[in-house]
Amino acid sequence: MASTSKYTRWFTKEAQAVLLISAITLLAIILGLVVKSAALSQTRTLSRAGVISEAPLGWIVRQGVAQEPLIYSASDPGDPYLKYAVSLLPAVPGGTLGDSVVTENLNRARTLNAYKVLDQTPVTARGKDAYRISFAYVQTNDPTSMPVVVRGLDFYFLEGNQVLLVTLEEQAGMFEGALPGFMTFMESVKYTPGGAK
Amino acid sequence: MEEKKTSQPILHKKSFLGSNLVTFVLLGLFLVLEVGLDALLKPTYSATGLVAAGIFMAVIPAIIWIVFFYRQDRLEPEPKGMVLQVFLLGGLVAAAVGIPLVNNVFGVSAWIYKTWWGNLLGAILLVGFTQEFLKYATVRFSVYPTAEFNERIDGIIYSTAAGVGYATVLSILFVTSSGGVDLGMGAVRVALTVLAQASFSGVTGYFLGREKLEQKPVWWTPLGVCIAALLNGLFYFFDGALSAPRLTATGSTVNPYFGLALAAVLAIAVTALLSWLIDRDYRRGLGPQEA
Repeated sequence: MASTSKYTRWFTKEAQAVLLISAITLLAIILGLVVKSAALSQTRTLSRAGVISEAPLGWIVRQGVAQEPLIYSASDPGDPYLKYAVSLLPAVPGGTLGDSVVTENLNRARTLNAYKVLDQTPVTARGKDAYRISFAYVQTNDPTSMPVVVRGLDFYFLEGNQVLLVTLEEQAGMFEGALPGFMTFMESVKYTPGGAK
Repeated sequence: MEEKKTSQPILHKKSFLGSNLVTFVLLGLFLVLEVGLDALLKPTYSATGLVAAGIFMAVIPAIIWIVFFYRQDRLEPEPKGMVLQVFLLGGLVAAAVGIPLVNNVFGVSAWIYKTWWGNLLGAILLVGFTQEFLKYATVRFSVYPTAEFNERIDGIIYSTAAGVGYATVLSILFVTSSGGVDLGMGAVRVALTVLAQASFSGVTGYFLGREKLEQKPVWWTPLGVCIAALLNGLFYFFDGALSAPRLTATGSTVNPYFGLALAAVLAIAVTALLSWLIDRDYRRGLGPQEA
């Protein structure tokens, strides 16, 4: 009896209002997170030199100049280290896809600080044979701040006499979180040889 | 004591504008001084100087607005110590829960400006509801159950104190993260943010005050929190989306004035509505009650 009256006292109209407000707020937050997910999955189509892909909406797009292999890159304006890039490299004449991977890694080792290949695996992606390369280097662009370790992931695809390279770069501590978005981007890449740069 | 209560309503014949003229003049002077000094001196700040500037720029409007709302309670002014405690509690809740939740867990700034609908809905559902719930909880679980909370207007007074406390921490964060750039415009934004946070939680406070002193249905205060969250979200949308930089072929352009003006109109309209509700209660003679 005593416990019943205690329960009744606790579950007053005011207490019910508190519970209702908490429930509404929780529901609002859940809906807000659904909106967040929908906003983050919004994409824009990038198309250049026969390479078409779906990049996140609102990202800053840079197109490569004529001499460089970069077709375009898309960077998150809210994260200075997060970047997706698509490049077209000339395939090593008479060589395999693995030879092109080695050549590109050697080029990077010459230009990037402490560049290191962490892992190299043949995989199937976009329905094609590919090489998946995991790498890291140290970025020291800003002399006023500490050097930052950048981690990256490459997917190499042989496309006729060219190699299509799709790359992710992100600050090491946030790399794992960037992977799902990048995999969606990488799977969206379509290449038709012969497009003008 | 009872006689004192019934004779007090004569005080309310003073006009709203007249009785708060000092508040508006002080706020105007503060803004003119801030904008003028920033334009004339173009100061650069060290890290410590920026924190000091941030505290100064956030606390002065907070004091002005808290005095403004405190002066609305003309029948039985609340204990200043208790109003101060709720103010501090509002600030602590913002620093410990509200800001980390909105900025880090929801990561609002990273995605909210991508689409207009994401901005509007995100502002209401994540920013508005989180902030208004926390300010509501600050009052509901501190001063609301006490005997001091014995007028309908007390809900507004304490809720605005919580709102000003919350806004003060937001403002300090805003100034320190700005790196000291364009603090003249920053002063306007800070004064407006404090008014907005105070007036929106004042809406919840109005519903809370009536819930305690009248027989209201269960949905009454939840409705108040929802209205406050909606207004808060609209303010965030106006102040953020309409003032966000836009990329053009020649770089980026920022026009903060349109969004800021809309946000100002919203905050001032809600404040005027609250003042009108308070005056209406006084005219009806709804004074302190035994809680």
